Amino acid sequence: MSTTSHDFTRSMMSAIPSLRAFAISLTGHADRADDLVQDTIMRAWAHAGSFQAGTNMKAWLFTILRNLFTSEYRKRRREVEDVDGEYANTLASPAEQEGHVSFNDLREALAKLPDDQREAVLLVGASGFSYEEAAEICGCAVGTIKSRVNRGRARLSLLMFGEPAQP
Amino acid sequence: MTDDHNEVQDNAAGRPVATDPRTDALIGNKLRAYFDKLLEEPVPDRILELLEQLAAKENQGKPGSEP
Repeated sequence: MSTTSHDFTRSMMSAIPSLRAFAISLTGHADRADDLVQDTIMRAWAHAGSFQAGTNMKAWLFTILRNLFTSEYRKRRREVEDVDGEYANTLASPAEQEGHVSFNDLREALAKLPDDQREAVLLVGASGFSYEEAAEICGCAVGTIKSRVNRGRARLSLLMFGEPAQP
Repeated sequence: MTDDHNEVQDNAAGRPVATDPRTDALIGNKLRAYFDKLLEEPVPDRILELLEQLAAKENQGKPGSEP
């Protein structure tokens, strides 16, 4: 039995929870997120030959998912009215208060960000990618990602806490 | 692409958007808590089943073939 047996799929498996969290954050719907994750897995499998063993599987899968979302899923955009609760109800565990700002407040604020700022904030601020990795995933310059993260964070601050804080 | 042109004129008044480090840290904590919450969600059966099919397929040959 080869030692590489199962390695590709196993490597995908370990990235699924964060891939799915990213998909839920992007789409705002658990069901839609799962369609997106499933399509990402199928595309990754079909293009397994282009994945270089030893490189970052998680970043590779995020790139595929992000491209699928951009090209297809964004057409079926979230509707504004969905922001109030439908999404939260699709989660297995109920949304809870997280300090002064609730889980739902952050989710609603994220939904109001422009798409490019949302994905940048989610990749760098939530998923733990570096600016360089996020730039790679989004196919843009590192400076562009930094700018989007800064503007996205400032807008989140404005949406959740009112006035932006003074410098 | 407007990113390079309007990055400091993003609020309604056109003034630079600035946050202090405390607010940034707070936003960062909220984002990570939000993401961690989503990470706790169980992976649905249909995705686990798909991965199991692919793992079985991979065991028989190379990935990339039809599942």
